[in-house]
Amino acid sequence: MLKGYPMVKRVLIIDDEPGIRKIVQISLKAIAGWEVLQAASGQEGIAIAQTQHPDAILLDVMMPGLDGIATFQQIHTNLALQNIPVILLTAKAQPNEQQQFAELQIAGIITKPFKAPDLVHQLRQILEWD
Amino acid sequence: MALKKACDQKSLREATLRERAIQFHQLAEHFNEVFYLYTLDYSQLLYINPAYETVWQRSCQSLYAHPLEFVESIHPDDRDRIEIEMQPLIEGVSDFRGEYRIIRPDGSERWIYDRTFYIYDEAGNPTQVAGIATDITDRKQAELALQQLNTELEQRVIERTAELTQVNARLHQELGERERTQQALKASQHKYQTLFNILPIGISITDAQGRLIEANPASERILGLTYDEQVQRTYDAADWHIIRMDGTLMPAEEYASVRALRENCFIDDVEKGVVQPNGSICWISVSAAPIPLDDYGVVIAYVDITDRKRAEASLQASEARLRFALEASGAIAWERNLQTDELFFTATTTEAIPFTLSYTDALAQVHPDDRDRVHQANQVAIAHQGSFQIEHRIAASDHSSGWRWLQANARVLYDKQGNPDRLIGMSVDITTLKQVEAALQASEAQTRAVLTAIPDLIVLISRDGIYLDSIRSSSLMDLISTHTNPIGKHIYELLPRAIAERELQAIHQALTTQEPQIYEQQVWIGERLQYEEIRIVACGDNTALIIVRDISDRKQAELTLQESNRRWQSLLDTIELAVIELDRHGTIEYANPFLLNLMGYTQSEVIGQSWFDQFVPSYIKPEVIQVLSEMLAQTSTYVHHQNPILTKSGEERMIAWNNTLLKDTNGALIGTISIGEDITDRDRLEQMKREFVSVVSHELRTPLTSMQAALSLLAERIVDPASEDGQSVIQIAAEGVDRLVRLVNDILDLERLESGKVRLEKQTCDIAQLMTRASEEMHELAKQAGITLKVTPQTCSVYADGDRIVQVLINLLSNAIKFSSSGTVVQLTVAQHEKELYFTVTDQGRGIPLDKLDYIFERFHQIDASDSRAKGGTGLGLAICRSIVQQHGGRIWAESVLGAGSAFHFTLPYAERLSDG
Repeated sequence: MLKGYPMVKRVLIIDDEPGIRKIVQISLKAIAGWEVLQAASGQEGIAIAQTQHPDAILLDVMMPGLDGIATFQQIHTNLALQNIPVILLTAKAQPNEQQQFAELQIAGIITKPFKAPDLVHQLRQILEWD
Repeated sequence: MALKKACDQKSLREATLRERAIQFHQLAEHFNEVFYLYTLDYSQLLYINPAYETVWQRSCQSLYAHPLEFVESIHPDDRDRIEIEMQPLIEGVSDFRGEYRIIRPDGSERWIYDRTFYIYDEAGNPTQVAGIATDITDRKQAELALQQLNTELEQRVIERTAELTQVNARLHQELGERERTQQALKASQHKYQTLFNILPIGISITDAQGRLIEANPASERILGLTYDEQVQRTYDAADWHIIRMDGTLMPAEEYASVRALRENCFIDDVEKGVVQPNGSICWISVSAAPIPLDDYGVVIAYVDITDRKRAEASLQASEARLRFALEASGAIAWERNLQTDELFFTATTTEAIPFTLSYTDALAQVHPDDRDRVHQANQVAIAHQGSFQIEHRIAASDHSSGWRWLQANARVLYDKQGNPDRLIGMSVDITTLKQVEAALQASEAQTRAVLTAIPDLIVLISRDGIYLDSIRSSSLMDLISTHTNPIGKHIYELLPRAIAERELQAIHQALTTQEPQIYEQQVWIGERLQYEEIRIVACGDNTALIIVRDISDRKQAELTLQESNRRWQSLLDTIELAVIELDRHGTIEYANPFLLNLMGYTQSEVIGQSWFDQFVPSYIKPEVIQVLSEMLAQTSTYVHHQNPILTKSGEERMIAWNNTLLKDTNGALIGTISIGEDITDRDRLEQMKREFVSVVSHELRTPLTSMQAALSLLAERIVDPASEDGQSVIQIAAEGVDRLVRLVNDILDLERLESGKVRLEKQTCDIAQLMTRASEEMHELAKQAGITLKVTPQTCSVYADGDRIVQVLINLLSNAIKFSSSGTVVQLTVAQHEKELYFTVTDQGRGIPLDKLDYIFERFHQIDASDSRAKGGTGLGLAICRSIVQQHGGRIWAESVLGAGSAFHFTLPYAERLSDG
């Protein structure tokens, strides 16, 4: 990485909904110019993260198979991945539902639904990306 | 010739003689013995051989010159004897043979044996005296030594003989003594054996290891063991049960026998008890002594002192009683001598010493206030020939404890002339009695005051009902107030008949049984109903105390309490809430019927048990204990908490508790009481609701997310709708809208079905037709998926809402197609059973896990949420199917083998159709 020429940020979206993945990709690319990597499941996401080393991971919670929480725990205990900030994307907006995330060492939570500019704005705030 | 011959013969004889003389001479000259030859009268020595010089140490020449020198050399002591002994020779009767000593010129002595004889001529006449003297000194000395030896020997023989005689005599004496000793020994042994056998003293003899060698018959009785049994035990065996005088067990090292052997000394008079095998105790005094013989150890003698001990104890008790009696009485006897006017005191206590005092001194000891009275009593008794009894005070002997009260009894004794001689008396210390009397008086006064003060009416009444005395109570006297003085009146005059009869009956009962009679009664006093407690106590054989107490207030309180308790009990018994009372340690004191019923236990199964150990699941136990502890420590503001409890069947019920501290009447904490609501079902519903809301929220938010994000991109002109991204965004938004519409439709449809708002349009339908319709609907989908759809229609009628049945069939078929791989078969069949039609949709898909089979008909309980959405499902299809089938009175279920395929079945009853006709 050359000084003064920052690399393009790369964000990995892990979500079983293809529509969500696609819309997140278009939004981040169009608004912030970030590159988006896509994974349809937790397993696929971990595999991509290990090879691509994204700058951040957007992780859906309610997924079949390995759900978001289990996926996060695998990322968190993986020495190669544990430093990548993870933001949960969840439709679970109830206080009692959000409580279960409190003990996780995640970077932040973004609640579905969201407007595309708000998504980028929140990510910038959480990740402190100017 | 004859002459010649004679001459010749003479010559020959002479020649022979000469030859012989020469021979004799030669012989004599070399002879060791002295040979001498004298003339008959010893006047001339004819011949002496040289041996003379050797023996006599004198010269032959000298002897020849002095022939008697021979005789003169004889020892003077022997001369007389030799002279006598030579007498027979001189008389010519016999030769001389004798011994004598000679004295040599040097003074030495020699012993000589001399044989002197006559030499006769042919005519037989003596011619010469010849003799041979032999030096026998050596022989004589040997003889003398022999003789001395012999004398010594003889002396020794004599002495030895004397000794032997003495020894023999002593031996004889000893033999006699031994025989006497043996006799005595025999007698002693006999005596010893007799004593051993008949002595009442137990005797045991042991060897050095403490094994019994001998024991006498008394030992068997004292130890309670036969000889054979004793032999089984060593003296320190653990079998012995020996106790000290205080009853404690005596260890073997304290046994007299063990000590005697160990300390090698005589141990005397150890008192102890032997517990016999039958349990009785024999007290014994034991002495033991070591026996200084190789094969022996110790001799133990023991006397049975049980009787003595008993007597001692009895004597001690008797003595103690006597002493106690005397000391307790504090009595002193005295005698006043009227001649000397002295008082002689004899104490009755053992410690006190008799003493004498002058009457004046004695009187000085009396209390000043009593002194005159005492003196007066003395004087009167003496003067009037009588006695007196008087109580007076006297200075206490230790001068510190003030005055003692004495009661003196005295009597005058008279001399032979009838004059007063002495006054004898006995003074008893009655201080304590006086104190008791004073205390009693005070107590009586106090009791009366107390009795007067207490609000009870107390009446002393005779057996036949006459009032003897009363202590008036302000309130209760109302009852008999009309009678200003009830004393002496009969109970019938004072009380209503019924009440009086009851009291009389109780009085008789109390007097007969001597037991207090207690009962309650109600009495109208004016307008007021009074409750009274009547207590009748026997007071001797013919009088009784009646204690009447107004208990109206208490009674009222009791009734109120009873009512309150009844209400509470009723409430606790019927309330639909759990009530539990625990003590400070969590032990159950009370559980109400609702809780017992809920847990499936009986009252007796839970009371006294630990609430935490048995009725709270172990994982929550520490938390529940902490709640109780904090409450009891009053550090917690917790009065409300909820926790699961365990029922008898092991099921858990969630209870929401309200806890309160329980205190006794003194305000001390004694535990907790908790009232709880069984919120298990509510809790479950809440949980289900939360899950449902969560799922619905997710199902709604997911399409909304696509839509909102997409529309915001377009609205904010972030993407150009005409661009490729723009087209994708529009497509995503549209799919989201479609999904949301389907979801809303399904939710509404299900809601209408379940709430009964949809009315089923039932009519007789042809099953074959319905199956064909569904098959045709699914034909295209199956074709796209590469699935072979096999439908076997069957002509039969059913009374149903045809469109809804087709909806069910389409739903099941579309699920089967969506979850099957290309190239497999999906089949729809129907069978007619006795009472129902039996539809089955089978596929060769991946199958459903067993644990999911029960839930797939629930709302949003797809096997895999993403599957459903990926295949365009809403998660409500099977729930709608179930609702439709159930509305028709049928059943729906699924069977599956994971990896092999699934079969969905539902039934439609004929009955409905027939009944609807």
